[in-house]
Amino acid sequence: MMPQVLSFIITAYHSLLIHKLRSLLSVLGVVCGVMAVMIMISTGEGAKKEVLGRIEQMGLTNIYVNDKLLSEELQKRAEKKRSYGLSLYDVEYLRSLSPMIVSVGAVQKVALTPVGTGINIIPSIFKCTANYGELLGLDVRRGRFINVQDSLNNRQVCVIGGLMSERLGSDGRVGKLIRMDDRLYTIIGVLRKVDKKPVKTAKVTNQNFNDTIFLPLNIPHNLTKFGTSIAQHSMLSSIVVEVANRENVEPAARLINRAMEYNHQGVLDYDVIVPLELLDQALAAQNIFNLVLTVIAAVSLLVGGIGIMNIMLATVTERKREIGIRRAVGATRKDIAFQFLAESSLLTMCGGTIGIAGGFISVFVIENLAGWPIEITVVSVVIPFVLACVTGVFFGYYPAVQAAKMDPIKTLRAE
Amino acid sequence: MLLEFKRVFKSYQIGKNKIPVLQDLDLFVNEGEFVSIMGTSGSGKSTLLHILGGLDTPDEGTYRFNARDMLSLSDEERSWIRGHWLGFVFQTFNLLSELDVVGNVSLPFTYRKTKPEKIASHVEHAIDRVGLLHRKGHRPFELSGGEMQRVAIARALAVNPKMILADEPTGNLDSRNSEHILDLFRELHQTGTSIILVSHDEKVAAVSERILQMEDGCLQ
Ligand SMILES: Nc1ncnc2c1ncn2[C@@H]1O[C@H](COP(=O)(O)OP(=O)(O)OP(=O)(O)O)[C@@H](O)[C@H]1O
Ligand SMILES: [Mg+2]
Repeated sequence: MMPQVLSFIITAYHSLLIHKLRSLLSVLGVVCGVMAVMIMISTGEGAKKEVLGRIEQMGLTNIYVNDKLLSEELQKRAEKKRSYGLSLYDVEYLRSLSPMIVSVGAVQKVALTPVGTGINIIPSIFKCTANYGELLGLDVRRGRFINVQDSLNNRQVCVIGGLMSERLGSDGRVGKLIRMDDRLYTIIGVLRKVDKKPVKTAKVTNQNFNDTIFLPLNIPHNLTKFGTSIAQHSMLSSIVVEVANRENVEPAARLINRAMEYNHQGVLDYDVIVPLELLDQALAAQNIFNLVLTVIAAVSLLVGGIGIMNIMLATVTERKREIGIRRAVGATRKDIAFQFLAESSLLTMCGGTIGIAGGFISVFVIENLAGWPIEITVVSVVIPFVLACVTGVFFGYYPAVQAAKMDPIKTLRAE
Repeated sequence: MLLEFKRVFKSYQIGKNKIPVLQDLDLFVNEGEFVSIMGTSGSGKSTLLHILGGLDTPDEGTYRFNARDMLSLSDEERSWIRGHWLGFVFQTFNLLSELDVVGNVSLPFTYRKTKPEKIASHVEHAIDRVGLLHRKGHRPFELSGGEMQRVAIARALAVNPKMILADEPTGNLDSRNSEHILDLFRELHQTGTSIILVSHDEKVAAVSERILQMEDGCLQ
């Protein structure tokens, strides 16, 4: 086996070397194809990983009901139907909707301004229910999150984001006071700082809560459905519904949709968002890009393959004498076919290697210039490489058969 | 009997004309025999040698080599016989210019299941027998014609074949180099290898035990 492979490699190497430019050009298509496939897989995996990460952060068993801004005209119509956006009544209603629902939390964006902090960052300030921290898996580094007592008693406390705490310096520690508008709030907890940059997508912002202040959301004891006071004063930004397990997500989402439709008299001033569905959306966006790249890859590999076939046919004719000599010393037709097949695969493998190197560079450029998430996995290297090999075998097959069919007598007489 | 060649016909079709080359040809060669075939150009000597080597097939006739019916064998079996029992030496040497002397002499082992360490010793021994050990690493274009033919002979004898088929091995060489090559054939014959040698030259044919004349597609 060893000398066999060695004499194959030496003769192949020489034949390629004599026609350096020709070999390089013939392999160019394969290089492009491999590059395109690698970019496609890397960006696809990157997008998937990012979305999955976001979903995980949002909670795989969570369903979100987000507030939706209506146009003025629609708003008027909504008010006629006494629908005033998300309210605490919705929260109560969803809580008792189904045994599948484990917990319901709510968050409300409020317009307060911290005073005298000496920092010029305007933090996002949210009032939230006590279970909100747990629902979103917020990581409290110091102190504790808001609890039910804070909420019921409307205590003047707050939990701040990790970066916020850092910005405030010694004033940003547990026990210190923050003034917002005309009230003082005691810091009872600080969240862990998250390093990852937030990435915006169509529907959800991947918030990291680094610059956020959480306050307790006060829940009155008795709620009435059409109590205008509640409706007006409890304009929630988002309701988070947690279900018992992943199998419950879909049926629960359906139930929630129906309940909300009933509650809001058919006024669509809310969005029900199922994180699991976001994956499909993200992948759908990726699909267009993938389609383009697939076409590029397919065309490149086809053209590349034809190039390989062309060069191999030329090689076979040029090396007639070699074929005759090999047959005379004992090579079977199969041996000859195998040799040329190995050669064309070797050629495309070289192309594949160059393509993967190019792929690494392109992916790096895409990540840094376009800011796309990239994930280079074993798959994103192996698949394009395997495709290159397959191209070599597929398009090398015909020339290899031609070589095997060659009459050794004619090739030996051809001097 | 090593080789039995009976009632063999071979013709080439050129356009509408059928040109007969071998006509009712018989040839018997014993184990260890040295036979030379002479004949005018175009008389069909090369054609005969190619059929004997299993590279070509006749239109009619029987051919037994070492108790095998050569004409009924598959490509694989015939290739096996070429690689194990036969050695070719051509007028134009037919060496691979990309490979050095060792590479060329190793070529038959590419298609045999010999252990690598054994290959090395066989190859070394064959190169030694043709007296080219000092040229081991040289490529064909760095060698003289005589040396190239010695490499080709080393390639043929490296696998220790039963029979060597030589088609005008001295045709491209001067008399001094021819002499050297013929010495090698004599030596090979003495060690028991059968040889069939094709030549125009009576002096060359004279080294053999039996000289046959190719005439009208037959051997006399
Ligand atoms: N492939 C072929 N097609 C047609 N005719 C052929 C073919 N090969 C050989 N011939 C013819 O067959 C005849 C015998 O050729 P061959 O090569 O066997 O002769 P030879 O005795 O070896 O001649 P030389 O001494 O010149 O080498 C010649 O007339 C040649 O033209
Ligand atoms: Mg001839």
